[in-house]
Amino acid sequence: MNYTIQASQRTPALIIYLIDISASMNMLMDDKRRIDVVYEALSLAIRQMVFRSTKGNRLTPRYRIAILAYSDDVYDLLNGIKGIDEIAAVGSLPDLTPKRFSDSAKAFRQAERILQSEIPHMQDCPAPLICHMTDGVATGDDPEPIAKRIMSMSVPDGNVLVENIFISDHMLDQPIMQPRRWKGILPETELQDEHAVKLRNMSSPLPESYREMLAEADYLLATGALMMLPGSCAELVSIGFQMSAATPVRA
Amino acid sequence: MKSNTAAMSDKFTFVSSQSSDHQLSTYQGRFVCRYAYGRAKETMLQGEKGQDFVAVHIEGDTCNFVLCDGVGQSYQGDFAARFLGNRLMGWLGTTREWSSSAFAAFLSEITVAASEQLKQLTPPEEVPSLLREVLEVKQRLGSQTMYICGRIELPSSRKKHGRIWMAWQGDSRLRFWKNDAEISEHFQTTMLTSERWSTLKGPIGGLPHVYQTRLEYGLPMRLQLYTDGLDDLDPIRQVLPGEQVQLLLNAPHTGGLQDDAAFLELQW
Repeated sequence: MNYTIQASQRTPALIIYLIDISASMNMLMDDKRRIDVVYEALSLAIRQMVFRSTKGNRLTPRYRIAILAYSDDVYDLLNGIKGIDEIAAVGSLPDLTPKRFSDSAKAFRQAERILQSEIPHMQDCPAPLICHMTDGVATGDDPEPIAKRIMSMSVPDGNVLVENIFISDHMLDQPIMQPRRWKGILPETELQDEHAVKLRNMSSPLPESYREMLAEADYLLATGALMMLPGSCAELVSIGFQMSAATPVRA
Repeated sequence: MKSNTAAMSDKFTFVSSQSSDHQLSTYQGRFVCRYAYGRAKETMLQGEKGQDFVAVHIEGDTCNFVLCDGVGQSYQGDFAARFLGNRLMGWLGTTREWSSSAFAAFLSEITVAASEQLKQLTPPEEVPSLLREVLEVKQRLGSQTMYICGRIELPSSRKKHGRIWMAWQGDSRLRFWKNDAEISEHFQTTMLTSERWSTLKGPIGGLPHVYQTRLEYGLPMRLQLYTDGLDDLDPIRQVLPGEQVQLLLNAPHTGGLQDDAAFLELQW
């Protein structure tokens, strides 16, 4: 239970992205629509996975990915779980088009069903990870109990990890001036937003192995930091998606 | 298990081929040398080159050796392992007085030729564009390898003291026994994954670690080197029979090796 199993062709990592595509994702951040910032950050994370999966000129399927976009419904953008090699062969991700509401409970429920079917076959694999990105209060049911159930599911490598990227300018009392020197959100960090507190309750502690991988990319998150990022600028959103791909792999 | 006995001249050379496996073999002269090379199951199934490299050259009382573990996430890690391995064998064969600074300088000097050769190894046209873009970025960042190399000059009845010189960067295993007692502790804290040789920059993550000591006549010693593909050997301190070393290389418990593996053991 220490999140050290390396992602390999035989033991691939499973990452499920839950992407909020509610209407507010049309709002601007750094002169771009939030949805476009998210699309770019997710594309960069996929690229990073390709980078970490090549051996010689070959792409080994060390990562398996599902992308669920949610509004009032859930949209399975890849039509099931796809290997990183299959995604690279297509070349780009499906478009993310903002819709109306933000029913994150539905998305977490669908992720839970995926995990229930996958986990029995993942006993030698790294612990699966859910990366949830949202920019506002959930409509529909409370997602927290479902997220807690997911966080209690486990494989020998560790419990399922849940990460939250919350696009908000009002989550912390001070802006983050230097993302690369930022220590992260700790259990005692004061949060200004009720929804942020809920998302923190739904966020796993950052495993040491992930923290070390991020440190190699010059992101100095502190021991004890949670898998939660305030998406107040494009770089922080990007760090959040890079965190999701920080599963240990063989050098 | 193959076995070669010393010819009259007591000369022996082995250089691994990265395109094929080599079962555990033994050479017996003044040194007893066991060596093997195995590719990861994935690599074998794809018909690709292994990214490790091992070479040894014995001539009478002297032995030069190199073991490299190409970094899979760098561009064509097999290239860095092969290039550095061959260059180090050449350097060991021609250098008589070693110094840490001369060695570090050599590792930097050869990056020019290495980068030039790496430039010719362009990513294939037929791969998906995203993969090709990533490979092109990696090519610019260079190819990397971890390594251990060294030279042993044995003592004899005429020359009471011999010497051993070794240098390394990376997390390949370097284990040393004196009279059956393992004295590897000195090395363990210096075997770091972050330290490598790069075709672009030479030594990275720090300067090479260097060890040199005198060898006493009549004192039995054993030196064992292997890459992390054979990490099942880590808890084993005794001399493992050849059949058992081969079993670890065959790795039936995982359906084949999870990573490439190179093995070299020298006893005298």
